[in-house]
Amino acid sequence: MKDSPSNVDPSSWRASEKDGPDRTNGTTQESGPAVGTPVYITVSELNRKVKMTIAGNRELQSVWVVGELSNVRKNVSPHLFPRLKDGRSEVGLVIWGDVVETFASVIKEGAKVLVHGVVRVYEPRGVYQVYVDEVRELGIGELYVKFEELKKKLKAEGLFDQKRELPRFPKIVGVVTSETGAVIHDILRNLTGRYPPIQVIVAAVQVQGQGAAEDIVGGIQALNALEAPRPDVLIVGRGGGSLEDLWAFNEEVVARALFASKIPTVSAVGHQTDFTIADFVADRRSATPTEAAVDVVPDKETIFRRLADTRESLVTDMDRFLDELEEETARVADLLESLNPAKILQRGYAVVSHGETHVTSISELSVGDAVSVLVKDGSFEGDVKRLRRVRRNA
Amino acid sequence: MPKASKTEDRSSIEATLERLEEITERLSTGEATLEQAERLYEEGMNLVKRCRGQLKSARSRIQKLNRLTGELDSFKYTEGDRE
Repeated sequence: MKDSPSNVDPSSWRASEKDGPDRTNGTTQESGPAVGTPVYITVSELNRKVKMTIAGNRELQSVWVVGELSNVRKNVSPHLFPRLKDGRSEVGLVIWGDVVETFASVIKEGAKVLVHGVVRVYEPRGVYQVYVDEVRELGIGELYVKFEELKKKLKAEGLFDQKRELPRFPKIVGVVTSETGAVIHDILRNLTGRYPPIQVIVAAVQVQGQGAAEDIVGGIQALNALEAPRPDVLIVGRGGGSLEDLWAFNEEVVARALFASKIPTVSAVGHQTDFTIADFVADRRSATPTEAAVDVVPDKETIFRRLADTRESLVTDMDRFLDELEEETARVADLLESLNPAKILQRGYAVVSHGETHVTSISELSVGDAVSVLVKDGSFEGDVKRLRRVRRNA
Repeated sequence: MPKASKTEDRSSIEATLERLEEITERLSTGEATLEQAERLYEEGMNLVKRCRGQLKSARSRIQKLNRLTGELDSFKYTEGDRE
């Protein structure tokens, strides 16, 4: 600290006030207001006063300021005096050589940064500046803004509206995630535990850090490009982490790759509460990688139970069907039995034949015709003696 | 009577029942001669016998299948329980 408030002797300030008489009109106080020269202070005193005021404000002794760097010009000296601005205002920065050296990778023209420092007035020029001791690339706050902006943009484009059905009984599941860590094991264990016939193709990718987003995109595209053992559904995800850790899943390229995937996608990022852009774009969002496995394959126990139920109703239906056929057969058999020609003779009826034909009407006969009469236990012959017509009301 | 092949069983039971209906209808109108009636009756009785045989074998096949799948179910359940 070059000029902490303690460096300034308050007594000297009071002293300068006391020295005032030669700069104030001594008569002012005596001869009343509005006459003569007003009370004044020098420029130096003004600057010193402002400097002291600022130095006395605790908040200004340690501030984080967000803005965009401009005027980052290397001088002959190792120090930098750039400007930090937002849409409406700007402020001068003082970055000493050692600080410049430490944060050289971040201090760039146009960079959005968060600077830390103390606000001080440079008396000779009457300007206040931020004396910077730390420079950070914009972190979380900026990420949230980016997240919201991208979310709004992609939503407007309709990227969140593609919600395809997942296959009920997938044969092959593609998994895009890191091959290290618990997540892949968790997914594999749950997939095969629930549904043993499942096959899994893993696209091992980097899920955080530089290049992670491009890696994930590559994984999605590679699985889509497969022909013969082509996955029926993709799980794209990773375990929980900080917003920065999950950031790849908020990148536009990943969102577009998910949307372009011909294979339905399930996002599985982090813990219950984390929502990423990928979650909005995927056909289905699973809260955790474990849950993704549950969402993607059916549970074998459930299948067996449903199978048993189906079998049960099949058995019942088949039984009923056979019962009906049996009833029908029995009914026809009874009917047939009642029409048994032998039974008719049994009941005392006779069949009369004349030559080769059965006699069913007297018009078929003449007196003197020979007839044969069949009864239940034999037949006898006779001649027709008389014919008589009978009217029957049938 | 030729033994119906497995795939024909169901349709032939139904065809047989249809033929039986026809026979009883013809018999009940009384238009057939005694010889015809006897032939129809005989055919009918054979068809009834065939129907019953088919139904019986269908039943036993179904029961065998039911037993088999029942065993399969309990097998899967116990396998699942062990996990």
